Amino acid sequence: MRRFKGALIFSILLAVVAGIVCFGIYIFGGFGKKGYPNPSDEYYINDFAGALLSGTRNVILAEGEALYEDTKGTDLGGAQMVVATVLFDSAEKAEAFDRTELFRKWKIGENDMGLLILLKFVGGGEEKEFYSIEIEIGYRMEQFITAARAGYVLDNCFFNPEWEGSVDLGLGETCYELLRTIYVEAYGYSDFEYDMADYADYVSSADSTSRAQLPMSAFALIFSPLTPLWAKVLGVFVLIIVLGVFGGGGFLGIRGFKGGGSRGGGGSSGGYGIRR
Amino acid sequence: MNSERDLMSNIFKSKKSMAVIIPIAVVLVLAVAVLGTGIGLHNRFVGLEEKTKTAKAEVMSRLQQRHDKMAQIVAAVEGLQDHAEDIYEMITEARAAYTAAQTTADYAEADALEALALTQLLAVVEDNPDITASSAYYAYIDEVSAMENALAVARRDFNNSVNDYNTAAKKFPGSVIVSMFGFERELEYWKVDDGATEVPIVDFTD
Repeated sequence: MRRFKGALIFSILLAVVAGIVCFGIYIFGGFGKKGYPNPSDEYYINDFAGALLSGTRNVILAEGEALYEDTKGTDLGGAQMVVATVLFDSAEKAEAFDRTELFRKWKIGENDMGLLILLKFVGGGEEKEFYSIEIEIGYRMEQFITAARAGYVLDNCFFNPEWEGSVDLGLGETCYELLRTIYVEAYGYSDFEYDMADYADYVSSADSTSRAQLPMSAFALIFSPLTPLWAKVLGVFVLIIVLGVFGGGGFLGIRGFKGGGSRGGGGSSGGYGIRR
Repeated sequence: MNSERDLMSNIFKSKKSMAVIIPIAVVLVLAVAVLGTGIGLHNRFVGLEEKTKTAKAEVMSRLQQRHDKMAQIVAAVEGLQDHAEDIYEMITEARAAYTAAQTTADYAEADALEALALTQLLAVVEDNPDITASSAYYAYIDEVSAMENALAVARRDFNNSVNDYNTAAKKFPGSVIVSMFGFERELEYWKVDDGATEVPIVDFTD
């Protein structure tokens, strides 16, 4: 009987350790599947390269959330526009990073009504150089934002000479113009107004000490729709153990935990897009 | 004494019946397990087959987009018929190849033929100053570039789904299920290098 009890306790401990290891590998395994990062907690803005000013991030986040809120529940489904910046240590790695894989991993847009704007930078630490800007368009979004339209927006907004090479200003106008296309062409709004002068003022006055964002924290990821059921169950199990061991109380204080996790709409894309 | 005899007799009977029941139960459990596995594997192959069909449909849809875009470009270039008859012939040849195509290899060959025609067409367009000076030129280049990238992704998705199917079909017990239910033993990949050339590379940096 004692032997049986001992074996049972050993088995349970082994299972718990194995569970924690599996979960750890899944959650903390660096950039996740095939080297592609999880989205940040904020989902709509993922400044992993730390290349944007905090004002730019705030605006993109607010506009991304507003777009989804304004369009969800419609026949087309909720549109999502997500911006990501990624830093690579070589041009080869930047080339190999596939925006379609990232779009599919983040499941942008309901009913494939998604849009990903990816900015690639090359360098290390503070020394980073703009490498390329790419736009990936969700399957259903293709009929509203053509490659020609996206190319036109990049040429005339992102590379607008008026912005004198400022990524923040170029990206801001690019996002606004693409939002205008989505609101007007896809959802029948009469117009979408924005003021670049106001935007420029806000961006320059906001706190500019922004640090690179990190992929979604482990605890937010547990509750993310992207996380498979087995990982969620295991995650909750580990969380209970952790809280049990450490006496709880710190649950709400865990950095990055917002309960909502990723907000990907389940969309996909087929490589249709543009780059400059 | 009698009751002891009855008890012994009952035990003997129950042992005898257990000796019959246990093998039957084992056989039943095994049969259920085999049937369940068989149904599961069968359904898995149905799913894999559907996935390849969907992926192929995506390739065909992207190819249709390329047809349409080429027709638009041809219509936009005035007088192209006069000095680029060979391109027209190539396009016609590629269309005929699509119409006649039956296997994946046939489609891949027609795809490559059309890619060659598109490359030639773009070369003619680039030499036409009336076109290159207009903003429509850059729009065409962007559209063609996006279309070719989407086509490449569609081909890759198709080949990945074929790879999943073929791997499952060659492994045991998948190989048994494939034979038993008449599934295809091996599906054809979309070989990009089949036919005349590779897909065009559109350079929009100039």
